Amino acid sequence: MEPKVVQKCLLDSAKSHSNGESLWQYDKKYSYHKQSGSGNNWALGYLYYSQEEYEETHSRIQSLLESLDYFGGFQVFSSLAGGTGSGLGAHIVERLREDFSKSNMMNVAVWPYQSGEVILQNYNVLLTLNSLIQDSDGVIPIYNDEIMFVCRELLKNKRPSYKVMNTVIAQQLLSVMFPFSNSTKDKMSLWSGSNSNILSEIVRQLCIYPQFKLLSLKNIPQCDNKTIEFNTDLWEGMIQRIRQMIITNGNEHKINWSIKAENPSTYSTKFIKSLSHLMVIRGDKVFDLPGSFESDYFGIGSLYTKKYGGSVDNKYAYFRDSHRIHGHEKSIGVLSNNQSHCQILESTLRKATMMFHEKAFLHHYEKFGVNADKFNEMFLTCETTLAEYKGL
Amino acid sequence: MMRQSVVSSEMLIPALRKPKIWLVECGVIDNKILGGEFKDIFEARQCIKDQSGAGNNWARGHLGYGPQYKDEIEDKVRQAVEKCDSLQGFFFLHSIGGGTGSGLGSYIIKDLADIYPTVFRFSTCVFPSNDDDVVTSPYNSMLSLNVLIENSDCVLPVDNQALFDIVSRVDQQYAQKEEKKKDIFRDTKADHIKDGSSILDISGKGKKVRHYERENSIVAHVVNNLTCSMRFEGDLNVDLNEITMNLVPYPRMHFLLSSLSPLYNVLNPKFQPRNIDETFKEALDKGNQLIQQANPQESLYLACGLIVRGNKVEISDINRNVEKLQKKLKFVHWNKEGFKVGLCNQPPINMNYSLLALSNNTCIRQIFQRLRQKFLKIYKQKVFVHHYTEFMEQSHFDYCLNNCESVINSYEEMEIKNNNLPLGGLGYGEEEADQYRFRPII
Repeated sequence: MEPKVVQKCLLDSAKSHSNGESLWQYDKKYSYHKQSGSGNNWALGYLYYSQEEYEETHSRIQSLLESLDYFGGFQVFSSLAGGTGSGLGAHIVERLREDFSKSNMMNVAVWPYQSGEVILQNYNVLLTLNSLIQDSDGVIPIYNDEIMFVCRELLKNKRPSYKVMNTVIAQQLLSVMFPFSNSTKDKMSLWSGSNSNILSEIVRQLCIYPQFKLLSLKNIPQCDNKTIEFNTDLWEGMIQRIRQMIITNGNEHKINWSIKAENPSTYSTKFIKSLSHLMVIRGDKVFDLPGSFESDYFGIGSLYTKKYGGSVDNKYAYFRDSHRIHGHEKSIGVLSNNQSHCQILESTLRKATMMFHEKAFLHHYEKFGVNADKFNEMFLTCETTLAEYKGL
Repeated sequence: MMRQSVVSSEMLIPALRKPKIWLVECGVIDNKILGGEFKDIFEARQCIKDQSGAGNNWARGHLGYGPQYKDEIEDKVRQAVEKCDSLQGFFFLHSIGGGTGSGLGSYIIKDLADIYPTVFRFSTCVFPSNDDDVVTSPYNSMLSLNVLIENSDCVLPVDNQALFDIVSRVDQQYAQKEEKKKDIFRDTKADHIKDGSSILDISGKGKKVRHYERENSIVAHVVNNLTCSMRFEGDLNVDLNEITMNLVPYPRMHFLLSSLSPLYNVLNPKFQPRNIDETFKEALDKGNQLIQQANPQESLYLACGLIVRGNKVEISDINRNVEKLQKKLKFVHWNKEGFKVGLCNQPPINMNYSLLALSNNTCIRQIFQRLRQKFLKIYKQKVFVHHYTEFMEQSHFDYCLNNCESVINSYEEMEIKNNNLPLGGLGYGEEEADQYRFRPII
C-alpha cells in the first residue's frame, strides 16, 4: 500500500534478477499501491480502503489469470498484526472467495512477535483470523518468534535481518509446496502439471472440516549452507524426529522425547493430537525406501483424534519426490492440521479480552465502522475455534 | 523558536518539504525567520504577520486574532494541502504560555479539526517552566491545554527547564572530556576531528552558540525522528498515523513523553556513540526526558513507542532490547507487551544511529498538576482576569480547569486500578484465566 514499501520490493527483486541471483522478478504491471498505509488500523484497511482498492486488485488478478492455462488456486501472503496486510488482505480474500468461489484459497499469515511489535496486534490478529477462518480454505500461521529461534539456534545467525527470516519462511513453505511428481522418477512429469496441484491436495487432505482450518508446518532438516554436506541423517531418524516435533510442537533444536507417540497412557496435555497430516519426502533414492516406510511412523492410531472416526490410513497422505531441495540429500516436510496453535491462540485471546474489557483503543476502530458487535463476533469465532481444537 | 519570545506555529507537510508557518510579530519574522540562516527553508509567501503580538493574552490571540485571520489562514493551508498527494497530518510547534502561540495556535488547531477531521494533528508544545517570566502564563497554559485535550490527536509536551538541564549537563560532561583529551593529545591539534556540516552542528568554528538554539535543536531532532519514516525507507515503517493508533488507548489520553538518545550527538557531533544497548537504556532514563522531574520508570506505562534510525541496526537488536525493557518497566495489566517499534534505515546526519522513545505514561499528570496549582494560585485572587473577560466569559476558566482535572483523574485512576490488582492477577496464569474469559457485552 505504501509507495515506498511497494517500490522497494519491486526494486529489490529487479536488482537481484539482473544480478543473476534470482530467476524471476515482480512484474510492475501487477503491483498496486496508494499513497499511504492503514497505520495499523485494521478497520481502516478492511472497511475504508476496500471498494476501490479491490476493483483495482481484481482487474490485475483477472488479467494475470487469463494468461494462465492451468490455475491451482490462490496463495495469499499477509501479516496478521498490521493494518494493510491484515485488514485489506482479509477484505481481498473475502471478495476473491465470492468472485472465484471454486478456486482453492490458502493463506500464509505471519504472526507477530509475542513480545510485541504493534500494540494493537492482538486485536488485529484476531480480527484477521475471524475473517480468514470464514473465507479461506486453510490458514498457515508462521510465527516470527519461531523463525527467529530457527535463525539463532539452528542457522547460528545471532542477528538475523528480515531478509534472512523471509528466506527461512520461504524454505519452510517450499519443503511442502514445491511441485512434485507423486510416483514416478521421470523428471518431465514434474513440471507437466499432472497430479501436481499441491493446493488441491492440501485442501482435500487437511481442510475437511469447516471449523478446523489452522494448519501447521514442520520441516527437517534445517541447517546452514556450510553444514549441508556433512549431514549424515538416516531416513528413519529423520522421520522419527519430525514426528516428535509434531506431537510436542517443538523445534529441531532440543526435541522433547519424554512424550511417547506409541503409548497412549502417557498422554498429557502437552501431547498434540492431529486431524490429519500431509507429508512430502524428498531426496536421493527416495523410491528405494520400503513401501510401508511412512505408515510405520504415521499410521499409528494414537497420533490422531478419535472424535471423527474413520480409518487411520485416511488421516495421512504422503508424497515422494526424487529431487533434492535446497541441496539437502534428504528432507521431509509435514503440513498438519492439529492442536499446535491452541496455546498461542489462547494467550492472544486472553490479552485481547483484557484490553477489550478496559475498552482501550476501541475508538480508533469505531471511527472507521468496526464497532463492539464486530469485536463480539470476532471473540466468539476465535473462542469457538479454540474450543473445537481443544476438544479433539 | 521555542522560547516564549519567539512564537511560531509551523505546519509540516511531507509532500511539500517546505514547511509553512504563521507568525504574528513583525520583528520576529523579519529578523529571525526570513533573515536568519534558515531562510531558505521557509516560504515567505506562506507567512502571515501583523505589527504586534497577542501580548501574552490567550484570549486576544484566540478570540481576537483568530477570527480576524481565519480566512487568510484557511486559504493558505488549503493551498498547501492541495499540493499534497498524501496528506499525513498537521504539525504544530508552539508554546502554551504566551499569547500568540497558545491563543492563535490553539485556534488554528481547533479550526483545522473542523475542516479536516480525518487528518491527524500533532503538536509539540512548550510548557512553561517554573521560573516563568510571563505572569499570565498559568492562565494561557490552562486555556490552551483545554483545546489540546479536546482537539489534538497527539501532543508531545516539552519543558524549557528540562531542555536547559540537558544542555547544561551535556556541556559539563563535554568539558570534562575535552580536558582529558587535551592531556592525551597534547601534541596533536585540538580540532583534529572534522566538524560535521549539519545545520544542527552548532559547536563548530569557535562561534559562540546560544544556549536556547541548542535546546531547539533537541526539539528539532525529536520532530525529525518522528517524521523520518515519511522521508526515508526502513524495514519497519512507522507512519505518523500509526503513532497515534498505537500509543493512544483512550481519546483524551494523548500526551506522550518524549526522550532522545544518544544526546551527545545531537548537541555535539564530535562524540561517537557507544553501543546500541546502552542507547536503549538511556532513552528511558529520567535525565533524558523532555519534561522536568518526570520519571517514567517509576510510573505506569500505558504504551511505549520506540523509533530507531540507523543503517546497521537489525530487527533482532531491537527485539533483544525490547525484551529487556519489558522486564524492567511497569506496564498496565491489559497491555503487557505495549511496545511499538519502528526502524528506519537512514540515520540522522553525523550519527550512526539514534533512538526516539515516546511513552504514554501516567507520570505525565505531574505537569498537569503543576499547571493546575499555579493556575489556582492566581485564579483564587482573580488577578488579571479582566484582560480575558474582554474577549470571553469567566466561566470558561472553570470549564478548562474541570477538563484538566478530569484528565489528571483518569491517569490517576489507571494507576490506582493497576496497583489494586492482586499480584497474580497481573499475569496470564491458568487460575486467573476465568476472570478474563470473554463474555459478550449485551
